[in-house]
Amino acid sequence: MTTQFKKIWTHPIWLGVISLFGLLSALLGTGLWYLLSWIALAIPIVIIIWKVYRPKPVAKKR
Amino acid sequence: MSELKSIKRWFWWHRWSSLICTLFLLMLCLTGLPLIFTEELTHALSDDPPYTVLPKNTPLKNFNELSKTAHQLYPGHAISSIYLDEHEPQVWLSMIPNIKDDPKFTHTIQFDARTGAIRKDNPAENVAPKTFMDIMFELHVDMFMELPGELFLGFMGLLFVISIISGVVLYGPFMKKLDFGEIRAHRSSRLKWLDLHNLLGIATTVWLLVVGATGVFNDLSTPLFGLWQMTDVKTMLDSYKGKTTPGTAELSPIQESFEVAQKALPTMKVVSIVYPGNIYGSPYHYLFWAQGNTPLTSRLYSPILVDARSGKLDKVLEMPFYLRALEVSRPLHFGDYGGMPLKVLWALFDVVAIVVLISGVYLWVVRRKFYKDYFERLSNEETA
Repeated sequence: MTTQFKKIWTHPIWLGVISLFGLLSALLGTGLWYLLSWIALAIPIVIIIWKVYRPKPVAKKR
Repeated sequence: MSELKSIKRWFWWHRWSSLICTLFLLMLCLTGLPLIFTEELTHALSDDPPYTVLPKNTPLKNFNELSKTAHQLYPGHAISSIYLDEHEPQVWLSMIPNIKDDPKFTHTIQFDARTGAIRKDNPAENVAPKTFMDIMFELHVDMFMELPGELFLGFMGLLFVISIISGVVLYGPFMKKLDFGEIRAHRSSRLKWLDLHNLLGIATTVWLLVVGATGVFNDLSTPLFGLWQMTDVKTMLDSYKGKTTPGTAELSPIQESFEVAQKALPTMKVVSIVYPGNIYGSPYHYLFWAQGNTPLTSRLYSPILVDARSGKLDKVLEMPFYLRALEVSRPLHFGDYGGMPLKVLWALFDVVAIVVLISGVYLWVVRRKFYKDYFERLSNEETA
């Protein structure tokens, strides 16, 4: 149960924490915090693009 | 309650909250896209003349002279507000035939803030042709229906927030047999779009929630400001009861009052002046809005009231917590607080949101057989 929870939710929780950090860092800081905000918010977008354009091969090794 | 039953219930919420708001959310996402770049687009689309090049620290023109020029141009009209441009060295001075008129009769003169030369004399809002950005803005804010439109879109936003939360709950059971981001592209197009909907939705959940919730909050700004005016502001103005709104001739000179206000909050910058009688101000005061100079406090405006007859400082107002929260939530909706890269990211998230909405509708259209199979599978798993 816990391993399944971890398998499903690890990525979404990390993405959520990173997004929240990105949203707030540019609001509360400036300079370096802007840069960190851009990097943080780019992560979910990059992951989406990566997952969509590089689908796994049909045949699974298992 | 069995897990299947609970999933079905969440599913009901996800389906209906989404279906009802989708069309409006799609409109909001599409109109929101150009609005992210309001500053750049307004600049690019405007036919305003270029600025005379002057040394960087040229002092601002005395407001009394701008006011004199405006009154010479429109004798009998009242000044309703003055706004100092945040990005350019210009001042927007608004006039209205009578201060009690409907605000749509407001017309605005753009002055060069340093020379006092008129840059542009704009026609009244009710006769000026609407620009592309005006239309996008009005569609996005109230669909041309003012307060009822704002509240309606606020309700649609609330449904959107419900659909995001229920969507997150449903993500778990859907992903039991899948790896994160796995897209079953080689089976049916239903599965492909379901996986895409799940990936795009879960990867952008926090952004969607923040922009959705702050949007709802913004839709409540009119009632929230009204609440403040009816409570704190009203109590404060009680001592003026029975007095009349000063006419143009009775007004204390604006430049001196401006300096009084600026001195009252020396660490902040006065950015706008609302004249007495303006429905967004006090009947008896010049209302000055000052902003801070750090990233966060530049979002927090403080109102300063200067008696418009005597030119004396009356009060620096405390904004209630709900308006403070509203002010901080605004940039989180607009995405205009972290330079151009943040705006571009905002636009990308917006495009992802559009794909989530459209794929959601598609999944509903092809739903029947698909969900019958899905629920059957879940129930088999449960009994197995």
